[in-house]
Amino acid sequence: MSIVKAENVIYSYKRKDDETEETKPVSALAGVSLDASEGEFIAVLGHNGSGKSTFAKQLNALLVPDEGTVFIDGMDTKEDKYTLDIRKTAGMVFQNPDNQMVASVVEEEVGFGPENMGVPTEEIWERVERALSSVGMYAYRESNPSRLSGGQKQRIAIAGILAMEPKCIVLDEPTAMLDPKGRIDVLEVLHKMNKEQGVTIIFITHNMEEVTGADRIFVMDKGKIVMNGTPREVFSKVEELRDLKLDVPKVTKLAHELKKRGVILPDGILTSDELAEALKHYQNTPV
Amino acid sequence: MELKTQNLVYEYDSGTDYAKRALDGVDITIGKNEFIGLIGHTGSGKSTLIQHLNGLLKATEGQVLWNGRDIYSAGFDRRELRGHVGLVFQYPEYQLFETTVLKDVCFGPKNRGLSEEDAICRAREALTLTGIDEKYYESSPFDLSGGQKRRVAIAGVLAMQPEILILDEPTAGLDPGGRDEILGRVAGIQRETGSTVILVSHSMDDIAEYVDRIIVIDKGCIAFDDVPVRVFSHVEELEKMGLSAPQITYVMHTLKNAGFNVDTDAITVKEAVDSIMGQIRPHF
Repeated sequence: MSIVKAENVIYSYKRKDDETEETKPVSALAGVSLDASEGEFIAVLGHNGSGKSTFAKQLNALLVPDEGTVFIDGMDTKEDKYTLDIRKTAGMVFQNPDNQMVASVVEEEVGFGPENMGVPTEEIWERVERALSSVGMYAYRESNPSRLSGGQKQRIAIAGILAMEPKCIVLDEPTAMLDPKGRIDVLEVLHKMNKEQGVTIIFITHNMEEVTGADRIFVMDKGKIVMNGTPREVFSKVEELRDLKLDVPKVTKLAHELKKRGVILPDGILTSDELAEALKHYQNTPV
Repeated sequence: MELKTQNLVYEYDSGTDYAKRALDGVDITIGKNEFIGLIGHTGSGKSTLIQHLNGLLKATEGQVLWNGRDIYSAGFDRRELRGHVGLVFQYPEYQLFETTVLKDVCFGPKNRGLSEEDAICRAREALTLTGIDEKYYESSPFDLSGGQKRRVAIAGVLAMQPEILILDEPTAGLDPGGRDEILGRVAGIQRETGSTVILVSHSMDDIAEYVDRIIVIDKGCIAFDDVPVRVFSHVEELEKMGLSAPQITYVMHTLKNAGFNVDTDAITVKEAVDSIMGQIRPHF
């Protein structure tokens, strides 16, 4: 069953010229189709301005298509009557955790969403406890969010979404401002939610190392999907990705450079263990 | 040119129950034409430290010496220091405000009393160094792409011709292409102008690729101050500080454990390729 289904989505921002007062459309999405099944971990890559964030906003009806259709769990985002249900189904987490905090106590921050949805008080507390435990922040439930690190704040933001029990979470560069430990912690939480609770993840990032564990990667350019496949398939295309202002994980790049020097290796090596395994046949032929 | 800190201490909420030391006795010396990486987890004191280096914050204890002169002493012009030590904040493009790219970059030099002509001359030079084509000079900075905006903002600081250029996470939020463009330009500036660059970054891979010296700050203290190879050999300590080694270093450790006699000091793809090629004989 597909939880996210985008069919040929076209969208333009309307920009007003300061002098002539004329509005003219600036194309951001030029026919995007993407289908995500329930429980999938989907990564979206693309250079700045490729349309990733505009697409993300289509997924919880912050924006609706000019043409084409987005269905979230079968609900058409263009129909107003579904807007609230769509936002309960697909929660969003943005880049800067500081812009997403509203309360002065972690528990209240996480409880804000479900309370706003009209969840009974008793159940709110249960949800808050579950959400905080699953992001590993239960010990901080009485802290002030502003005193936490970037990675901790981002995990609180994720818990706030989790407490609304969405089927799908859309994250727009949630790790961009985090230090290495913060990145690792956020990534772990996402994979855990995906595996244990079956939450569908749509994860946008510029960091290639973060998406090797995704089920599928979609690559955007000029408002279109230009590549789509498993991490191994996508990261086999080292040169094409570079032309799209993207990159591959360092280990993939290393394997690619070794191949250019005549070393026999398969395409799309994603982990150092894979590289060690693939180099084994050279081990008995020391120089 | 020398910028030096001696036993630098900075305390937030001094004298209250919430008093917290963001810097706790920092001693560093920054010399001419260095390329330095400054790393530390969120809240380690990096940003507090760089704001002391150009006199934006005043230390609770200790000294900052510019060419041997105490910047807190009476008669020292801290505004002038900011011309020598240029600081590019995170997301500097949010500070663009002028109607054209050229005007925006001219603002700093003009503000320091340079003539229109001299300011334009410096702005052109700075924009060339950051790779902004002349055809954009009369464009609104807001019409540019994210990476271009950021390079215009960096040019604004460069136009002051600082001897030390400090960049606080200049690649945050940029795609890999934009990241390589900015860091490549910054490396060019360091080489060509003879200035010193201090790069604050959360990307160990970028740090490994570009800098000659790494300063690691943890809990307000300097944990390491050394060449990259030696700093990144402390993998466990770095991880305990919420940091990491470059990706390539981990790959080399895996290969070593799998029985390959490779160099675990390699921190860049190029070094790793050389080391691995030395250990295997391709079947041509």
